[in-house]
Amino acid sequence: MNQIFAVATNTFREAIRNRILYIILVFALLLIGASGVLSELSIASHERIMKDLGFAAINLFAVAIAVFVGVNIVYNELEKKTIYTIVSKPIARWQFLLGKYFGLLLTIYVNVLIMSICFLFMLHYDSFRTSEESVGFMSASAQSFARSIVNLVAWNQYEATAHMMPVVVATLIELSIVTAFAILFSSFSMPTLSMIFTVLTFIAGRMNDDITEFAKTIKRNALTEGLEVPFSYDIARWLSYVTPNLDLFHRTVEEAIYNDGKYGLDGAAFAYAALYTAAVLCLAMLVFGRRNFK
Amino acid sequence: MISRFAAPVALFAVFVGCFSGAVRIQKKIVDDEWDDIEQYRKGLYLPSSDYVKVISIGYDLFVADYLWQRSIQAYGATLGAAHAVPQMKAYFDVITDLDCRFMAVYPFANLVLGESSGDDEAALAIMEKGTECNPTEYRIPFEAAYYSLFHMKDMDLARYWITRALQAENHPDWISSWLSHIETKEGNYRIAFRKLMQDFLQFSGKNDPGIAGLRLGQMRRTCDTWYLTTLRAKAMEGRKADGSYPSVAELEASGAFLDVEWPDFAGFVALVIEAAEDNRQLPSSDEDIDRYVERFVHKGWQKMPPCPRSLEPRLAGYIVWPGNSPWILVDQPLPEGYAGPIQQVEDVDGAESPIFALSERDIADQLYREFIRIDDVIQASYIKYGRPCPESPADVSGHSLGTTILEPWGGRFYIDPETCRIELSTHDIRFLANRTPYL
Repeated sequence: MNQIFAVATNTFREAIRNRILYIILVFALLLIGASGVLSELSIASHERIMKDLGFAAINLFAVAIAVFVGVNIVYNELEKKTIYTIVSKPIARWQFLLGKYFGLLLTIYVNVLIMSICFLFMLHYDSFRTSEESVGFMSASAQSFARSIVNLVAWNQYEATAHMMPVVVATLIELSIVTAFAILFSSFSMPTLSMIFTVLTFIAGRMNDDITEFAKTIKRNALTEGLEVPFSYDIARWLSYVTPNLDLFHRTVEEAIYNDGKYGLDGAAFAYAALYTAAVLCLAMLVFGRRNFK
Repeated sequence: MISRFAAPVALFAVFVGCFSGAVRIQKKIVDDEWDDIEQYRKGLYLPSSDYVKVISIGYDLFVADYLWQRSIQAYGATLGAAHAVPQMKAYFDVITDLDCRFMAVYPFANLVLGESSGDDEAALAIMEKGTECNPTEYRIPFEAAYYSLFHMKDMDLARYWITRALQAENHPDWISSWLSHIETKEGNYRIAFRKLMQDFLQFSGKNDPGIAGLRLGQMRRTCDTWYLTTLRAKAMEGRKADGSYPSVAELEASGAFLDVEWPDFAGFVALVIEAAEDNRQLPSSDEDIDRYVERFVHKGWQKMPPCPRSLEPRLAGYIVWPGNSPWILVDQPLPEGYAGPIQQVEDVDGAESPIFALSERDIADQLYREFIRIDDVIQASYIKYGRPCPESPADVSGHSLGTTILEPWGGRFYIDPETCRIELSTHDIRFLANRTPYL
């Protein structure tokens, strides 16, 4: 456990020195900050646009961090030959990989936290701006910031940001799966290929519902025409089972926007994410364990 | 020396040649498309929502927001031009497919496709889609009902949409009055009266005096329209050889009202007051309402029953229409820009006309309210603070925010510099205001 912790903390330190991380973060914060301006371009639903844009920015840029930072994280150790100094120590390869995973995840989570505070700040500030009582810029900013921090613990404390934090949590869970894939691909391929694989896996995961729908369509069409259900139906159906269902987590955005008071993230979703992540990490450890470092 | 510079210069020349060629081609493309509005139409093109949904990889709401913003800009750029309608329709289709709960889209789609472009079918199709996706939300079918009633003037369609709105869980109570309004517009007064009576009794039972009061007011207005329509028909039937219309008294004497179905609004109100005094609630089941309608709506009137308006204390002391007034209600389209329900004609024997009797009441009521409003402003803003008296009603502060002052007698309003009170040049409006009602 200590070994994993040591690798994780070192990975975190290394990752936060990565300039790509800051570039992505700055873009994310700019986009979240611009949501206030962009929402003003609409003739209605300003609040909804701010929220949508904020959620999309947090999610998209967090995935970008997972991809851009994650795919290099193992490769760099091999490229710079620092892996030799690590594996010569009393540390197993699976421990090294797990440490890398948790270090990267921590990096991503810290970034999501920063983006979330910025997002919550924007929502609070907007509520001050549109409220009837006049609040000065400095006062509104200070109060918005304080409220954003409080929101991280007390999720539904303020009306302006009620039901927002579960979406952030859903994003964190989704990212745990995406990061696991980034680690898996980086454990056996070049960064560019890893990047492509991770992005495609993310897209496939987000299209899980479409794959299911595709399978249903194949079957429906075959039955309508009185034909035998083709083999492609079985493939599509099987694919819908094995591809990561990332839609499951992203669905919470809609629920938060419409304030349904119900969240798609139940125990099954948590269990699914934990099991799927564990499975992908096991596969990564298996591949990495057999990898020749020469 | 030459060879030292030859290679870079040659390279630069190649660069300039290639780049200028590329720029020339691009310039031609841009110039060709610059004034071509069809190209903008292509710019609006969207693939079907099936594809957009796949491409959005889960960011459906975000993409819907983006397209929503884009649709606003596209509408601003085309302002309902006919060539852009199919593309705007595609936008709304895709947005609502991506997120059919995006409520702001439906009224906007209605505006763009319906009111701006006149594509009623497309506008209502979007509303239908929204209603199916949001069955608990009354606003979409209500918007469609509004459009059907006031824009398309299709009563059946308006009735259909209001019925849909009433099926939504969150519909406000006042919506049901629209059905009565539609029935009144169609001349189904008995049905409208029945509906309003039931609503009134039900909301009274729910201890909701606000809505109950509104319903009573609507009953009164429905009865007014009922009276006016019937009187108009009877007056037309009994038009004299000299072209003048019979008076109410003449119609009554000739038994013209015996075959007319009138509402006994006064009788109904008396029953309600009696029940209230006994502290009991009148039943409001369908059977009870049918019984009340049978009792209070019937034929065989020798004299016209009291007009509902005269029952309301607020309306007591109506202005009587001046006998030599050159104004009358006519069944012709009103001149463009004219807001009142009357039109000037040259020769009228009108004061005795029953058509006249009711039409003037609205005008007089409106006129008197406007008069009182301006008088109040003068009292509160000028006399109270000793400010110089305004020279004309148009100079009265805040007047521009109000409605246009109607002067149906052909006179004009002026402000008496002696008293700083508003007056009418042709009549003593204060005296007229205190006269008893015509009926």
